[in-house]
Amino acid sequence: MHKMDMTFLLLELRTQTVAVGERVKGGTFRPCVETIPTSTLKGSFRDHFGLQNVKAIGFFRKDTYEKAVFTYSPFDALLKTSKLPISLEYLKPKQGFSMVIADIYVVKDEASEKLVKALPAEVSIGALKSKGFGRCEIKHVGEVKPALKVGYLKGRLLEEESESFGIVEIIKACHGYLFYPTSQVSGMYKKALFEGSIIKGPEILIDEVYEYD
Amino acid sequence: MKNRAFISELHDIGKLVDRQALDKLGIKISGHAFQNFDFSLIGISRPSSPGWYSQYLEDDNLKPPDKDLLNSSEAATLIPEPKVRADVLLTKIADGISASITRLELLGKHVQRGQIGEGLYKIWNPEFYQKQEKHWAAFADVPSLKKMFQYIDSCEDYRDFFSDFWDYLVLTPEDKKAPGNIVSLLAHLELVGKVYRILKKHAFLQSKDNQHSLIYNSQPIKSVREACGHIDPTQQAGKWIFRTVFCDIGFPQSFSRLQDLNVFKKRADLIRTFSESEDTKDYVLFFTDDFLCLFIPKEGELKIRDLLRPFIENGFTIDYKEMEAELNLLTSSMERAYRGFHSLASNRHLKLYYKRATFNFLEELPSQLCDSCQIRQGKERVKEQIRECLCNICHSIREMGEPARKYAEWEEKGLRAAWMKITLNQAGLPEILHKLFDKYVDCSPAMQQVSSNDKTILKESFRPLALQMDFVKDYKSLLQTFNKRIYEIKDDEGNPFFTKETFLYPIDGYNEFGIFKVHSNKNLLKVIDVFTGLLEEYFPECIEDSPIKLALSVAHVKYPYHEHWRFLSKPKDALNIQRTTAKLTLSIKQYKSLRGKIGQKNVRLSHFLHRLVQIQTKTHSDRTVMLEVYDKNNRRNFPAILELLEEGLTPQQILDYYRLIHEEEVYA
Repeated sequence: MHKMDMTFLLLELRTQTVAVGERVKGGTFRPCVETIPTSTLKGSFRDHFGLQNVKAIGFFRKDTYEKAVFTYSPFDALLKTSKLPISLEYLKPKQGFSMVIADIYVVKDEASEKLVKALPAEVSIGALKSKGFGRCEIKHVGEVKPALKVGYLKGRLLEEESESFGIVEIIKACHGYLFYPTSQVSGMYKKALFEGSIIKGPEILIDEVYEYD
Repeated sequence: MKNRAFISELHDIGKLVDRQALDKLGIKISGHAFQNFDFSLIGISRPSSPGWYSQYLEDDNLKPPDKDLLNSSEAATLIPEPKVRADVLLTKIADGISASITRLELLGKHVQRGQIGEGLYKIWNPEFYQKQEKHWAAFADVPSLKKMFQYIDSCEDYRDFFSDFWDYLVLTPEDKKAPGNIVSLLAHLELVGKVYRILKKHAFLQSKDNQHSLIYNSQPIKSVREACGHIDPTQQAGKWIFRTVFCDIGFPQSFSRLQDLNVFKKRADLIRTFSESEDTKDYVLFFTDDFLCLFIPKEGELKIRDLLRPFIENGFTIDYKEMEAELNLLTSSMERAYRGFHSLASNRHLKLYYKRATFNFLEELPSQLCDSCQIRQGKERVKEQIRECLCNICHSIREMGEPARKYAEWEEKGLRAAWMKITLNQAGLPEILHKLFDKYVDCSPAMQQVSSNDKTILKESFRPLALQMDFVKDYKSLLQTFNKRIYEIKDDEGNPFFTKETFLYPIDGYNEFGIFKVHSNKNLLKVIDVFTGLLEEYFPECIEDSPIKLALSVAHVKYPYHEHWRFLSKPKDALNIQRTTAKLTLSIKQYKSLRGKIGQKNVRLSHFLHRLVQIQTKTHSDRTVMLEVYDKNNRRNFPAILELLEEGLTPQQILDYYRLIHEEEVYA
């Protein structure tokens, strides 16, 4: 298989509960995604290490987690009132595991070199941090030189960053928007590639192989 | 010549003639085409409408695929008008690519076929024809035969032909010899007609120096072979490239209000309009409420985004797979054909693409996304003191009306509701049809005399497109019957078990989707029983591997709608049941076994099943589970469990089923 001329740093993330929310508003149920989008990691690394532009994507290991639902009633501190209860889906360790584990692939560049120097560390990702969700241990495991493959993308990443992640061709684009933090309190939505897109790129990003034109 | 339209569908009207019956009356007819028929035998003159010339498709002089049908002296003699010759050529092309079994004689070898059968043989419902009261033949005596010729002369629209002979067309096979007797003449002719009209729409007849040619996409042709290529993929390439496209019409909205369900109505309306509009109907080979199968020219001739614009403009997302190929290589078993083709050393044109057509995403959105679709810019809207950020499309869907209004009023204490969705797995259907066809060829008594070598050739030459059209028709009938039968179920006192108040179809005419009250497990089991009963009635051969699936999501009335939908939209097996406590997926066979073997409430059985599940979870070992089941006492006390495990069910499935049927007190 053709190896790419590209290196990713491999990090391991461990957590007891995490809820990276599917962006569904207007309802009382918030499902969670089973991968860690680039925007989530970018925001987390910026907040914890002051690194502005780390390009990373993560995938929870399927055999380590199961889904559960947490119901809570958000409190509006300004109005001093509780809102309608919201049920939030989250990941917790599967029976037989003490932690949910994810593999995080970071594009090797100047920013990621700085990141590695700061590891191991504790970071927070996802929703309900105030309730103890999303507290993660993260450590550097090694480097990966993936092979080039054609198949279905298994995570979410900004389309403008697809080249940085080694994607050489987008065969079928399933677009959506990811929140792009521009500061600690603001941001915008940017066009992103979602699961189901068919790409030619590093095998670490690929779920199922695609064999057609 | 009379000034009438050429009706390509009439080329096979002769297949509705009972030749044996007429033979007994002294009228000898050879084949199903009448171009050489002696009209003096029945005292009428030969028809002369353009449609009549479709009979020449089978003429020996015009049959060779490389015959110049536009300029050869034979063609000009038999069919004087060049325009009609062009129509005959296009019909011949359409007929060839619509056949369910490739015209094997064109391979230059004789392949033996099976026996001639009586009526249509549905490979998913073998007893279909035997259960019909009507005979397949529309023309079985001299007066009716005379009428047929008059009909050929007078028919002005193919739709009249279909409606006038519908009852016969659905019972008559395209080819009376096994294994070709599996496609109805109706589906075959619908397909031929559509393909013919699309070819005609995108090709034009050019006449220069008394030489005629048909030109599509700058490619002139004069014969079937020139257009379609050889049927052997390693031989001569064809010049005309077209596409078959399977479109899944999806939507990005997540349901948070009942009004969001209007998106089903919007989609169904658009699909129906698209499939019936004069401009687009012929591109649609068949459709359901969320799916379109298209036959379209190359992208250079017709851009798929332009064609599907009504869907895109209304916010739908179309995931499509598209086979682009020379006409003789084009099929609906796309992946299978692709792999087969690429295993050969061939330079011919066959491509397969998976793509998505959707509205153009902006690179960046500075502010709020729509709460419902999450992909368009939203605008804050306030209704009944609730603030929501909705885009124009999602807002307009909300404004379409109040579906399932009654559901919103279901407030009985402790009541649960089941959301129901029936789904046809279109992507998997061609493969299932291949399996059923293989079984028919291998096992049918009508095929006994055929050598295994010829059987293999027949299996390899199968093309399921027309069969899919028949299958989808039966699927739609099943849905309609399901809707009817649900209200015919009676309780122990003979009263209707479900009423229009307790079993809702929120979107009129959308029979795949319903919501019903669940007072006890009985409600669920009744619905599952109606579904399995209808599958056995319409698709008995699909019981083991059903492309039609039922999903039920049961929860309290306020359970999030999008969570119901998330489960309903991805059914895994024939039966899928989601409750707040567990998810259960079963094949029909497994369900029937469980239904037969797990009956009365039994606390000891419940404990035993829990123990088995615990063992399985802890040890991940089927063998350890079986050791427990084989225990002498357990075997004696729970003989059904051993049988169920041997049938491939897991302890978890048995336990979940047990819980499902004994949870009355939870719902009460």
